[in-house]
Amino acid sequence: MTGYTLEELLISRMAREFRGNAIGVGATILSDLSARLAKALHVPDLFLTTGSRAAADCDVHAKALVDEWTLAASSRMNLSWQEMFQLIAHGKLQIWIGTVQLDQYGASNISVIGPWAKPKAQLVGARGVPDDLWGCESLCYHIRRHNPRTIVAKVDFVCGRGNGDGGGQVRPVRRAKPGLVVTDLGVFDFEGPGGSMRVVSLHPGITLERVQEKTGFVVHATGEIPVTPEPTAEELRLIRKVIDPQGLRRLESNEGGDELLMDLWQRETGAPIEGRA
Amino acid sequence: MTKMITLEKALAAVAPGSSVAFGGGGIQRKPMAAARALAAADAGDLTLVAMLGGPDVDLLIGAGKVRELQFAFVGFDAFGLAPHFRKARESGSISVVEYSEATIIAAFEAGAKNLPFLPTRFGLDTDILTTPTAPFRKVSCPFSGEELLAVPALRPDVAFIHANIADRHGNAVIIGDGYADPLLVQAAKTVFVTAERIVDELPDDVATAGGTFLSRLWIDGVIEAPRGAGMTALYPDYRFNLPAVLEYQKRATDSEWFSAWLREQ
Repeated sequence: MTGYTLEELLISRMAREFRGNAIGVGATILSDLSARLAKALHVPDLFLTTGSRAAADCDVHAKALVDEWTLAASSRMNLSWQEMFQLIAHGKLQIWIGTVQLDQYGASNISVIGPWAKPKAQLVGARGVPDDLWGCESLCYHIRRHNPRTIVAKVDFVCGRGNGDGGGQVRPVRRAKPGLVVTDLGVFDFEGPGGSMRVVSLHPGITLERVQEKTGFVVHATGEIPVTPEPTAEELRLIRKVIDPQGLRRLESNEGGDELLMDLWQRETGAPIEGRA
Repeated sequence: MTKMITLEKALAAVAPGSSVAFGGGGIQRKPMAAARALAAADAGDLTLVAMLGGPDVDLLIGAGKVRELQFAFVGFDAFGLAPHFRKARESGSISVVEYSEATIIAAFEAGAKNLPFLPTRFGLDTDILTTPTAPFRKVSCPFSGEELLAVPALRPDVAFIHANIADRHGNAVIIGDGYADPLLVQAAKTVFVTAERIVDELPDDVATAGGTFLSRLWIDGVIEAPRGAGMTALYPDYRFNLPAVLEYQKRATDSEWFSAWLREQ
């Protein structure tokens, strides 16, 4: 890979999935940036709401560690959490979820590693993933490190349900399907045999052998596998100059750490803070 | 009638073994002054309730006050995991009831409406239904027969919310994200609001500016607590304190550091 970073490749690829007249959201920096890029580039009516729903339906701004202060100026409403879930129930949410585990049939886990009753590692809890499952058309995921501990045969705790076993219920609302997953190795979907994980594209320089070696099960792949499209010059300009000039995306790279965080923090809090909205 | 009280008086309403809920989320608008004072109070054996727990929940677990936690998330948002929560879960020293965001919102909404439960689809087909402490039941829609999830009402004994401003009658305004607080104040049996400042009457422009207005009819006491959200953010008054958050994460499970940290109010 030359001329751009892995994070820039992922943001560009993730941004292509958004459509208009709906919310584009994510709790992670990469998902947030991908929604901002989509709005700046090709989905002008994408409804952005970041960390704080107090500044909802805002314009495209540079990403900050604390967004409210910059977003409030162009925000059109204060979106309540009740309304947020009502929008989800009506299919008006598109989301990229930063998951910790993802399995062969697209189930996801951000709650615990090991047995729930006494976890080997307690993470953050199921949060909104069991809810996004009932309203979103699909749940898309990103994972920073593709390896046999993150891409597993079966997740330890199901937060987002995968394919298989539809439950036999006919409902007016369909459960979200597992959508795309982007990792540091490639782009995948769950359209393989029985709804299993399948290779969509591999990032430049990545081989199928390497993916197989780094995955806890056999990934489905057929025919000529395309290379993940590189970010365009316009996408790179927007990422670097408009939506993330401070480089918060580096927090989701191996460069990320307390030192980078403190550096970003000092630059951000050194800037003048706007008054009351 | 004034509803202005002291934090000490509010804490006296927290009986041992009662359930205590906190508003805000993660590292935003957490009632940290109340949580820290509760850590120093006598009442223990508490059941904590928080849609999105942060340092409030974490410090009370660390202080040994918590028997059970009802939650959808505990963490420091994009800035790391909660150290005492992790340690307590991994050693099995607290009991937990895991919700999702929308199911705990449904539980608050049922409590707010004085109903025994509310049906939802959120959470169906996931493992939050399979835990030994899961409070949910499956029910059939009496009209269509569709299988739904019944979420029983949550009525916490006491709730603490932090707001930007309140008046002496008990009205309060949250300018930033309201999280589940509007429902929580209606679901809880007793509600205390800590506020950055308390005025005689809320200015009209603040009361109508589009934030979250909490009526005095739901509020039992208001407590003036400047910087009451502690290291967490209160939009637009102050940002979260990143150095303090990182230090807490690194050192909170060092018992000497933690007891000194708890003492500095």
